[in-house]
Amino acid sequence: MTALEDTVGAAPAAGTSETAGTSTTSDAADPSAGALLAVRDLRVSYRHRGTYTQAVRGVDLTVRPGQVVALVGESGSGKSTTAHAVIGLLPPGGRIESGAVRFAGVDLAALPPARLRAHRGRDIALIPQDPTVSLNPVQRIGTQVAEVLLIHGLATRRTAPAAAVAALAQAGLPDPALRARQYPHELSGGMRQRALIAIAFAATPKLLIADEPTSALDVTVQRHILDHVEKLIKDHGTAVLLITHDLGVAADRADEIVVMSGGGIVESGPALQVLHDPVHPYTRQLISDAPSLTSVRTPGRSRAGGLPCPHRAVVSARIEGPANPAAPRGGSRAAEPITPGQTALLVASNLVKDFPLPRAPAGPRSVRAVDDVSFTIRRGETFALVGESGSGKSTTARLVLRLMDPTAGRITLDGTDITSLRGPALRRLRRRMQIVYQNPYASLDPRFTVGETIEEPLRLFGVGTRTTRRARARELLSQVALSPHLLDRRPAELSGGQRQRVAIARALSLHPDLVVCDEPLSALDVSVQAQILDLLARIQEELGLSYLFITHDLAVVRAVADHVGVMRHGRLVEVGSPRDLFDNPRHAYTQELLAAIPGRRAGVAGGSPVPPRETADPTAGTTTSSSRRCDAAGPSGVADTRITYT
Amino acid sequence: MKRYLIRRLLQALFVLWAAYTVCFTVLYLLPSDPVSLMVSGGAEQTSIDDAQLTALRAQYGLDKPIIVQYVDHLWHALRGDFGVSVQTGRSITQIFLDVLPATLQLAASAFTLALFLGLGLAYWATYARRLWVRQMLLSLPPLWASLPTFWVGLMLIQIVSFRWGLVPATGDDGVSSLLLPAVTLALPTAAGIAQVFAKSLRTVETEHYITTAAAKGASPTRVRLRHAARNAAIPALTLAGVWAGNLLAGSVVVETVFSRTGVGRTTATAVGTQDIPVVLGLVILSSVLFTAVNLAVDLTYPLLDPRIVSPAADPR
Amino acid sequence: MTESLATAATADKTDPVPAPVTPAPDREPATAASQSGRWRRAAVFLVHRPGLVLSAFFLLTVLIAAFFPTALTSDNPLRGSVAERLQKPSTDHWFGTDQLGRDLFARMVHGCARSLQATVLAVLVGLAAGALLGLTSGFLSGWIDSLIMRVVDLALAIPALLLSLALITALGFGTVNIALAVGFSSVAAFARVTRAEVLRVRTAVFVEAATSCGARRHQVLFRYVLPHACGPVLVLAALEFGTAVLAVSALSFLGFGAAPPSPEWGSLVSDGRGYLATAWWLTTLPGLTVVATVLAANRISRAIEGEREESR
Repeated sequence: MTALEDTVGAAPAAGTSETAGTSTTSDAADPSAGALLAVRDLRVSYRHRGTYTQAVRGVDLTVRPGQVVALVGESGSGKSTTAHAVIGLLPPGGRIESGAVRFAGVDLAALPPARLRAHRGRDIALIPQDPTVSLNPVQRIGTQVAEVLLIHGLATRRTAPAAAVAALAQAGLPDPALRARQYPHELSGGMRQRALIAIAFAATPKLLIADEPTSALDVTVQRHILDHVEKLIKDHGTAVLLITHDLGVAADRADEIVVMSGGGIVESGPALQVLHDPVHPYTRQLISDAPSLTSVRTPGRSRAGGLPCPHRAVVSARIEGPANPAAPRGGSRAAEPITPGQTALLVASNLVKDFPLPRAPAGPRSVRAVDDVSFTIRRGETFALVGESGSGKSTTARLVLRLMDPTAGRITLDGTDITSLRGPALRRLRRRMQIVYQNPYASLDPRFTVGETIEEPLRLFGVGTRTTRRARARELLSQVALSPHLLDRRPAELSGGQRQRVAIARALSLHPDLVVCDEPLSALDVSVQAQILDLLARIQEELGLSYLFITHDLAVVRAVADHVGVMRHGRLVEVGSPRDLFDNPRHAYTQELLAAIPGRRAGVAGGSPVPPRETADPTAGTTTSSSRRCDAAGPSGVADTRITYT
Repeated sequence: MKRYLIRRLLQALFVLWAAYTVCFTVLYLLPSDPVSLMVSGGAEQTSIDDAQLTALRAQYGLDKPIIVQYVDHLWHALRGDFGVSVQTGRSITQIFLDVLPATLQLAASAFTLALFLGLGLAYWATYARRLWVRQMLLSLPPLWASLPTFWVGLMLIQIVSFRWGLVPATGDDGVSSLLLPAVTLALPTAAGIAQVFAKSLRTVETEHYITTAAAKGASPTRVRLRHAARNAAIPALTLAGVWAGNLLAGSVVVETVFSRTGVGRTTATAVGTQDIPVVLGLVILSSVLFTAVNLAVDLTYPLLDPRIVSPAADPR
Repeated sequence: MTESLATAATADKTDPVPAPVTPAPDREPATAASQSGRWRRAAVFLVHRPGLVLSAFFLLTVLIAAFFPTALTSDNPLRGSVAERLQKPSTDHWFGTDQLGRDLFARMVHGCARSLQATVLAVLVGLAAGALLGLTSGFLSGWIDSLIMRVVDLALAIPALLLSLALITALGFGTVNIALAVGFSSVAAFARVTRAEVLRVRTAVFVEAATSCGARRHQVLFRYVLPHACGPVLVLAALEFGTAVLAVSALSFLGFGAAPPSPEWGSLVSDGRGYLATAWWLTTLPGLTVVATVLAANRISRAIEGEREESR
């Protein structure tokens, strides 16, 4: 449970000293006047092995009727814990130490359980985080919606089924009468989330707590759902406490933004004010790290030396720097003509991959995961494949790496056909192409130390002696900005960012030409994402690597790619330079993807090429004490000094 | 649904054929002479000369090639004819049918007992308010599972029958004589059910749909019974086939300890006298029973878990 | 001598290698601390689990009894004096005496040898055959996998004890035959678990990563898959030990074990059946020993499993 993760992370987190000072929700006369929800000095702690750790340290929060307040923070910031404490649903071991949760004048924290339950679902509803696991798998959808009405006596056994169907219709679920009879597994993720929204709105609550309501869904689905929720809350005048890690979502949807870190509030205020004129360094950090807000970053093209905050600096460098050479347009979409001076490293032509389906009574025998995909990766460049889950982008990567055999098509590396290499030849090919996986928790063998992991490819290919391999491992560690002390650690002792760096070091050990990055950021926290992105860019520049970058996040694409392919249902629907794609998307699906990027409505990204916060840059340098990463990167701007923070 | 049914039925038939083949292989192919085993079984020394042995072999068809014997046996077995006992000359099917009701009665009462005991104990052990109660209750199933069935039976006889004189020690007349064997047989199964159910109750506890239910304002009891227990019972009930197998196997020991007639005791006697046709027949017929229970479980499974039959939504 | 010279030479060779760029001053104390910390943590771990310590101690005693019975008792298990028949447990005869005046404790201790050796043999047979089948099946996949798994399914279609009984009928009576019968009837379970583990590990991302780093098939199998797959299989083996003790003693109780005068756990209980009303110790005490052995084995296997889950 997320709330539990929060506790673990909260204890050592820095930056709590200024909590007290900055947590001025709105310094108008009486903050709780007319408030629907007023949280005052809330402290929550978790018991872990007999000792209590505070996860939420004195949070003040006010939500007025009809208002949308976004609670923003990274995992471990205490945002989910705060939300769960409000509704009295802390996981086992959690308890409210002190403080008040006044809802319409009643202190929920002091209510006996039975009276609190009368409010839950009736006055305060919850939209949970992950729709795929938040519905009871063995109950029909209609029953689950009706339950909330029955509990609060809003319907009788006879009227409940019809009321449930009505609630489903209101949540925008097509064919509600049919859906009510179905089981959760028969519905897609988006439909399940709509069912959960139906449950939440069934009793027309006054306050809605939405805990990362769409982060488990694809971006396009995400937007439709958030739009619908917005319409519902407008219609009913419902107030919303929106929990999110995505400042873009908060920027789009919220009237007020409250930023949490380390269990305390670091900044709060009207959304536009927080976004355009952030006071606290941590907020600025979050804004600059959020890929969807500052999507115009090209690390690798120029490094940020000597500037206070490397990320910000990179942003400006990109904007001022030379524009990308106009990408070729028209003609064959598949294999674009190669610009002079750039040689093609890898050419994939007309790749097809079919997977056999388990024998079913009717329907096709196989499913086509990759359908006639062609692209070219040039030496030293990054080719990004974008698409939603199930679009076939990861399968394409595995075909390119020859970890899977294509059903049809051809792959050439440096002009040599590698499509049907086998045995020793295939093994030799592995030296030239490496992969960095999505989840660094799964891609490293937990039994191997960092040193053994990095040396493993060398050992397998019999490169060097034991000592030279160790030396190479040290060299690689410093290349990925990790301390050589970590050589004898095991993955379990490392953070996610550190593991991903180790995975990168392993991929580099054999001096490959091409590194496939399969969603290398999506398992990491936002601030760590920015660092890994920087690292990948720096390595590319130093070593002249080519990347095949697989991602679902268009904003990341804009930051790293030289060429982009958009995939959908196994097909490559559009290929072009990021600039083409963003400024002039031709395929309807690309347009839809672009429109779904959060943060565009707030006008902080997307349309305007220069994010307004760019002007705030100089002030960022003067703040030294508490911003975790800007501070660390320090005046030197050398990535290696950031070791301790990764 | 129909397809699912037919598939499961065919699978069950295949399993039975396979069980038959395994048993036949074990009993007729292992390096031992069935006839000399059979005639020497039980009695210490038999005065049978070679000519008589050959005659016996011919009588049981053991002089034919093994594959012919196999097909022959299978063909007869398919028509419900498992041959006759070497020791008594009675029809094996008849022997089985004679003792089956007693075993079914014992197994059914033991299963009912085990189900209530196992599910109840696990539920109580998970939700008891006091920590020491929870810990004490949770330590019971592993203890039960470690007790040898034959010893439990003897201990019960010693205490309940001999010391307290409450129920008859052995025999099979009436409910009072059924009580001790049923408890003895139920204990290991109840332990298994309790362990599985308690574990899945704990797992289910952290599921997100439990939070969803609580957020609706449902009372703890409602959340536990309607959402937690319903989901947690699935793994325990899926294993019902395994429990049935346990009960069948356990009946061998329990019926011997309590001197009850039944399939188990008859099997044990047949093994003791190395009456190969009877052993083969009884093991196969027990497997039929076992497979039938498994099939019944599989067919009721979709009622418990809708995910089994209807296909999942678009994986995307 | 030559060996130590060789090591010294290699050590010399490794030394002059340029020292790491960043010296690690905090490394030495860290490892030293972790070393002593490990012992302390182990001590704390055991102090908090008296049941586990007791289990290990008991199992050790039983093992000693199995291999050096004379270390625990000097009485003859087969000979007794009729004058001392059916005596209650006392300081002379800890477990009392049977109807022939034989010391029950001595018979129990000597019975350990047969019963435990049979148990160990049964577990080894099941483990070896099952793990081999499961490994082959899981790693080769394809038609071999289907074939092996079909065979395993068949074996599972017959309740284990019934299969053991069929095997005993064919093999004849005796301690070793009991062990083989119990062992073979557990092959299927071992094969299943091994295969499931191999399949689970084989599809793990880090295994694919190994392939993409250039590991050959056998390297993937032995360096990556096996070490991860063997844990749960060993846990099952430990658990199976308890089950096998029960199965072996049950078969012995039914009278399919060693011929009468020589003692076995199951047959000792069975021998005492006729004296339930008069000599309670004849059934109670041997049975309790079996219970304690099974409990100890299960407790230890649970500890191993718990540790594995925690380290994940």
